[in-house]
Amino acid sequence: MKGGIFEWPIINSILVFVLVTIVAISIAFYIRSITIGQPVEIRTYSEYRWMNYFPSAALFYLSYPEENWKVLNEIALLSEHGIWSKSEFVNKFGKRYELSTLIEYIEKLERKLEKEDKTVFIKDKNGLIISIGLPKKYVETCGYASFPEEYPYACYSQNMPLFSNTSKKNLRIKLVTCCQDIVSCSDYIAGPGRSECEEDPCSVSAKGCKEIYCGNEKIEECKGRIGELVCVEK
Amino acid sequence: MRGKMKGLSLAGIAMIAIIMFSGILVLLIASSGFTPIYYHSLPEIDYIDLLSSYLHAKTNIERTLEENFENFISTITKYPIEWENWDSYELFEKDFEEEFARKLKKVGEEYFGSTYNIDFVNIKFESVESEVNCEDSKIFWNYTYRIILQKKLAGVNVMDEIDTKNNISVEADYLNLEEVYNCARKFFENIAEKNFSFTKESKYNLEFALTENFREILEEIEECKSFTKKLDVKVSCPEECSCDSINYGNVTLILEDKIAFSWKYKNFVCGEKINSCNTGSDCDGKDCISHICSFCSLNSLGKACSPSGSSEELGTHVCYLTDSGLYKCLRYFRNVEYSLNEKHLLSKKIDLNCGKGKYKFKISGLPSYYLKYNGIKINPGELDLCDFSKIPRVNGKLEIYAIDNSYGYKIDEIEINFDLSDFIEELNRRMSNLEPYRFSSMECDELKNSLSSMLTNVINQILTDFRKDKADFMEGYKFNINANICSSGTITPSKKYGIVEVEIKDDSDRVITNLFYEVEFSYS
Repeated sequence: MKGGIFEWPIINSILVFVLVTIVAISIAFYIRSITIGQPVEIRTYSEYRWMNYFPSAALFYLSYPEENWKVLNEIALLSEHGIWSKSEFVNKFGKRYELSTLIEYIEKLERKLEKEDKTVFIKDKNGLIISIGLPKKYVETCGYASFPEEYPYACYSQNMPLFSNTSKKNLRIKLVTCCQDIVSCSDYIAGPGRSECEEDPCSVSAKGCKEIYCGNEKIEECKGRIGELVCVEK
Repeated sequence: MRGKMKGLSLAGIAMIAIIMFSGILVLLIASSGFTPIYYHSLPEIDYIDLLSSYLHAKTNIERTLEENFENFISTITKYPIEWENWDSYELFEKDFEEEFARKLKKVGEEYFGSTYNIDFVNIKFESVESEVNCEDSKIFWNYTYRIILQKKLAGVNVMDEIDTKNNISVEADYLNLEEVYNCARKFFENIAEKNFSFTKESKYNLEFALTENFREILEEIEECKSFTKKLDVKVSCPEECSCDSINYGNVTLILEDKIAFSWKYKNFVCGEKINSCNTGSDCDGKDCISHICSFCSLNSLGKACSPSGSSEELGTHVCYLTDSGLYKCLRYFRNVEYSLNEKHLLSKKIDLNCGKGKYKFKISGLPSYYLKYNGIKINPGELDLCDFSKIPRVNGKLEIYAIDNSYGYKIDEIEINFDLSDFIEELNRRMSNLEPYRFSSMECDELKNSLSSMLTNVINQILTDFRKDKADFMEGYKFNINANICSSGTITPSKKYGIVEVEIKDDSDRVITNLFYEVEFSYS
C-alpha cells in the first residue's frame, strides 16, 4: 500500500495517456486552425443522401416529356463525339432535332441549382452525358472518365440505360451534378493553405474570388464572422 | 547495456502508442474532406444506388415499348416466319400469333440485352412469356420479362441484387392479317409453279435474276397491290452456281417493313442461260439491268442499266426514281460540277452569310435540269442563293434534278445554312426565355430606350457567341430596334406587355425581315 495507487505502473500509463491525448488534441486543433482555418462542418447523412439522389430525380424529370426522351435517345445513338456547352450543343444539333423542350427543362434545373449556363454536353461512345455545374474547361482538360467527388466539386451522377436494335452496346444517358454546394465565392472555405477561393474551381464568379480578413461587419459576407477569413467576389 | 537489452518498458510502449494516436488525431482533425468516406460504402447507400439503376432501366424498357413499339416490330423482319402453305386463314392466324410471339420474345432479348453493364452494375435481361393477339389491324402484345441487376457490394448481409419479373402490355397499329395471308399465300403459290432454268451463273447474277423474276410475279398479284413490298432472294451456293448442284434459294417477302415470310424455292432446272444482256436492245421490251433483262424497281435503284431498245452498253444509265414516282432507266451524268461565285464547290454543305454580297450558284455538266429548294421548284439558270425572292433564307436542302427523256429525277442535293436563319432561331429562343421587364414607372422615352438597349444586348450577345465559331457571322446585316409601345407620358407595368420590333436589313439597305416580340412587364 506504500505510495497508493499512483505507484501502479498501469495507472501511471493511463494518466500519461490522458494527458498526452489532451495535449495532442489541442495541438491538432491549433495546427488545423493555422493551416485550414475554422473547423469544417461535416455533411450530415441526409444532406449526403439528397445530393446523391438528386441526379436520379433530375434524370427522371429531364426525360419525362416524350420529345425529350426521343431526342435524348436519338442523340445518344449518334456516332459523333465531342464536348459542347449548352449554346454550342444547340448550334450543333438544333437544326436536326427539336431541342426547345429539352433546353427549357435543363434551364429549369440550372435555375434550381443556381448553375445558369453551366451545363456541358458530352457525347462519347456510350451515349450522352449531361453535366450541370462542372466548368467546361475542367471537363476539357481533365477528361470526363470520372467526375470528381471530392470537395469542392462533389459530383454525383445517375445513369439511365438505353436499349437499341443497332450494333451499339452498353448505351446510357448520364446526368451529373457538380458543385451543388458552391453557388457563390462565399461558399468556398477560406483559410491559410487553401487555394479554392483564389482558384474558383467551380467558376461561380466571372470576376474571380479573393480571400479577405473580416475586421468588421461592413461586408455582407463578414456578418457574424468577425476575425475570420472569408471568400468574397473580387 | 543490460537494461537496453531487456526491450521496451511499459512506459515506452505507452509513449509510442500515444505518439501514433496523436498523429492519427492530427491527420483526422486536419483533414478537409467534407463527406465522411464511410458514407459511400454504407450498405443502404449502395443498395439505393442499385435500386435507382433498376428504376431507370425498368422505366426505359417500358417507354421503349410504349413509344417505340412500331420500330421494335420492324426489327422482326430480321427473323422471317417460315411459310407453311396453310390451308385456311384460321390455321394461319393461330400459328402466326404463336410464332410472332416467339419472334417478338427473341427481339425483346436482343433489344433489351443490348445494354448489359453500366458503371459497375451488371444488367441481365430475359424474356419470360410472350403472347400476341391480332385484331382489326391492331397488334396486342402481352410480355413478361425478367431483369436482374447486380452490383458487387461490401459486407456479408448486403442486398447486392435485384431480380424481378415485370409484365407489360402494349398495342400498335398493324396490318390486316387476312390481307397479309392472302397476299403471301398467292405469292408463294405462284412462284412454286414456276421453274427457273439456268446452267452456270455467278451467285450475284442468279440472285438478281431470281429477285427480278419473282418481283414481276409479285407485282401482278392483286391481293398484294395495297402493300409496300420488298423481296430478297439468297441462293445456297458459293460464288459460282451450277444448276446441277444448287439446293435452294431462300425467298423472303417483307410487307410494310412489319412482317417477313421466308420460303425455300427449289424448282431449279438445267436449261437455257438466264436472260442476260449487255444493252437494252437485247431485252425485248425490258431494260437491261446489271446484265439481266428486267424493269427498274426499288430493288434495282442505283444499278447500272441500259434502257429498253437502246443500243447503249451498261455504264451510261442508272435506275432512278423519277419526280413523278416511277422507276426508270435514265441517263447518268458523271461530270456534274457546281460553282459558287465562280469557285468550284467541293463540299455538299454551304454556310451563307447573305448580309453582304451575292452567292452565284452555277451548274455545269447537265444539259437540262431544274432545282428545288425545300421542295419548292426553282427555274434553271444562274441563281443567286441570296435572292430571297427565289430562295427564302431558311436553312434547307437544294435539290438538283436532271431531265432525261422528259423525266425529272433527283441526282444530288446540297445542304444550305443561312446565318440569318440560325440567328432568328436563336433570337426567338432567347426572347421566349426572357424574364419579365421589371420597373415601377418610367417615362415613355426612357422605357423605349431601355427596352431597345435590352434587345440590343441580347442581339450582341448572340453575335458574340456565334462569332466564336464563325468570325463573320451575320456580318453586313443591320438591326433597327423599334420599341414603339407608347407615344408620351408615364408608363407603369399595369400595361402587361409591349411589342418590340427588330428590323433586319442587308448591306444594300434592303429590309430582309421584321421580327416582333412581346416583352412582358412586371412591377419591380
